[in-house]
Amino acid sequence: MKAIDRRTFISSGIKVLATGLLSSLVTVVLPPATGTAGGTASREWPKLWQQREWGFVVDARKCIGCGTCVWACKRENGVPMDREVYRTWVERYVIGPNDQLYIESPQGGASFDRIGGSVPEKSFFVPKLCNQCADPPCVQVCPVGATYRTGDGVVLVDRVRCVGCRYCIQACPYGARFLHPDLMVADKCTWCYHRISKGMLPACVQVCPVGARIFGNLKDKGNPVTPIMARNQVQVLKPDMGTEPRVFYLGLDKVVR
Amino acid sequence: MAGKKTGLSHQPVFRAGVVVVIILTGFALLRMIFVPPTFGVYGYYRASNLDYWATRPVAYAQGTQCDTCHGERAGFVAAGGHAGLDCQSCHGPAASHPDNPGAWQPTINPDREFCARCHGQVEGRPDTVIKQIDLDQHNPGVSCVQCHDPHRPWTMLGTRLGGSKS
Ligand code: HEC
Ligand code: HEC
Ligand code: HEC
Ligand code: HEC
Repeated sequence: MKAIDRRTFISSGIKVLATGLLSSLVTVVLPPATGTAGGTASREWPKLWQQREWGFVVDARKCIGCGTCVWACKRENGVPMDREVYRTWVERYVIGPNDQLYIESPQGGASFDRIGGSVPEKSFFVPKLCNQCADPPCVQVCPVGATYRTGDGVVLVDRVRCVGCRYCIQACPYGARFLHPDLMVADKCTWCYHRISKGMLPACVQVCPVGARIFGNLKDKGNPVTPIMARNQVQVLKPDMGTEPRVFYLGLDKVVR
Repeated sequence: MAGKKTGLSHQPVFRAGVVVVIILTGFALLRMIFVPPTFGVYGYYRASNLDYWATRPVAYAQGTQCDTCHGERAGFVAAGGHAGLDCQSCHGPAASHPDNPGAWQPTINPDREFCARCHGQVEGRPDTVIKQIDLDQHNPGVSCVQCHDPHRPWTMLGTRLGGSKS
């Protein structure tokens, strides 16, 4: 075999490296979406987002604890029916005669029974779901960029990138996230992003028989949410956490957390 | 004489440059391999995941879709005590029904327990919002729909109640 001298080695090395550098510069400079490697996002999302900002109001005074929303959510979103995981659930707050507080959510609140024994001082239902926080701790802690907040205000999970590490589940102060038992990725309420993107209502909002859940696009004139927000003192859950929740409650009792 | 070598490839600056080029190339290659397509277009995530969520199949049809074929019944419901209820609140998800109504129909549940999900007396249920009955006391053993038309709860009892309710 012919030995190459140092000069030839270095000069051919330079050529190889220069080619590598040039081609790599191309990939560094160009944004990934226009690169050769992948498809582009099919919609003009920023344009859509300019016209959309979703708003969700829960009227806790109206909830009758029938669980229709809980079932509908599971069916709509492929959450296993027989597992104790819920994208939306309903809690019953029961205040006993000596101010003891019980909070229960059997089967996510899909069917509440009568309470045996003594008559409670006060009891009421509180529907819960992801608050789609404006400053979401779950997004901050994700180590792989698998969760994000869209321009129209919904926090989503990328099931392909999620590694199931559960950091986000721990980070959520509302317990709104869970590990999907079949897919082993983080799952959560999306305000039915597939429905609202098509102009439909989230399933839970549509099936609620008493209008305890109100949903709309805040940038639409005539949406049902804006007048409620204007005329009422709305509350959010755990405001002191600084997460800026985007589900607004009406008539929330002070003991609710 | 051995002397100092003067060729380009012997300049220290040049050698350092080679190292830089190697590092940059390596970085670019790794980035190409590990950063997935459409990552970073709108933020620190794969933009194509938006399409995944936006195009998921729907289980609950739009409420007004039922009206196109069941218009008469929708009007019947809307004029009575169950006005404002979506058909699918009682019949469950029905998005796959309109395409082929003969082949697949949503569920029908005439059980007493079904009505009691909303109307049963349960602690926490506000009677200002919904009328409630004690399941064990209110005409036990008889199906609710024998007396209450589920689509217009008072219609069959109208005369008995003086025709004031529908
Ligand atoms: C394309 C027309 C069409 C649309 C839209 C439609 N249906 Fe129907 N539906 C039918 C027909 C036709 C039948 C009777 C089918 C049969 O008995 O063979 C039926 C039957 C039913 C039944 C009774 C099933 C049974 O077992 O007797 C229910 C309940 C029902 N539809 C609910 C709905 C709901 C809820 C929606 C709205 C999502 C809806 N339908 C939309 C055509 C339609
Ligand atoms: C309050 C719950 C409720 C709502 C709301 C409701 N249904 Fe029903 N529906 C029932 C029940 C219960 C039955 C079974 C009645 C029986 O067995 O006599 C039924 C039966 C039916 C049937 C079978 C034929 C019949 O009359 O028994 C059709 C078709 C139907 N519903 C369509 C609809 C459509 C369309 C809507 C929306 C406009 C609707 N329902 C809304 C509870 C409901
Ligand atoms: C998904 C929840 C839901 C289900 C299931 C349901 N209803 Fe209702 N019902 C309502 C709501 C909401 C009203 C209106 C509020 C009210 O008047 O109580 C209502 C009203 C009524 C009324 C009239 C009460 C009044 O104002 O005078 C009767 C009677 C009634 N329902 C009977 C039934 C019967 C019988 C069934 C079972 C076939 C049934 N409901 C199933 C939600 C439901
Ligand atoms: C034998 C006929 C009959 C049956 C069966 C029946 N009801 Fe009634 N229901 C009535 C009559 C009559 C009234 C009005 C007088 C009254 O309040 O008792 C009424 C009243 C109601 C009211 C209004 C109560 C109020 O406070 O104004 C609701 C809600 C109701 N029924 C739901 C149901 C449900 C749910 C079932 C099944 C579990 C059912 N009914 C079974 C005859 C019946």
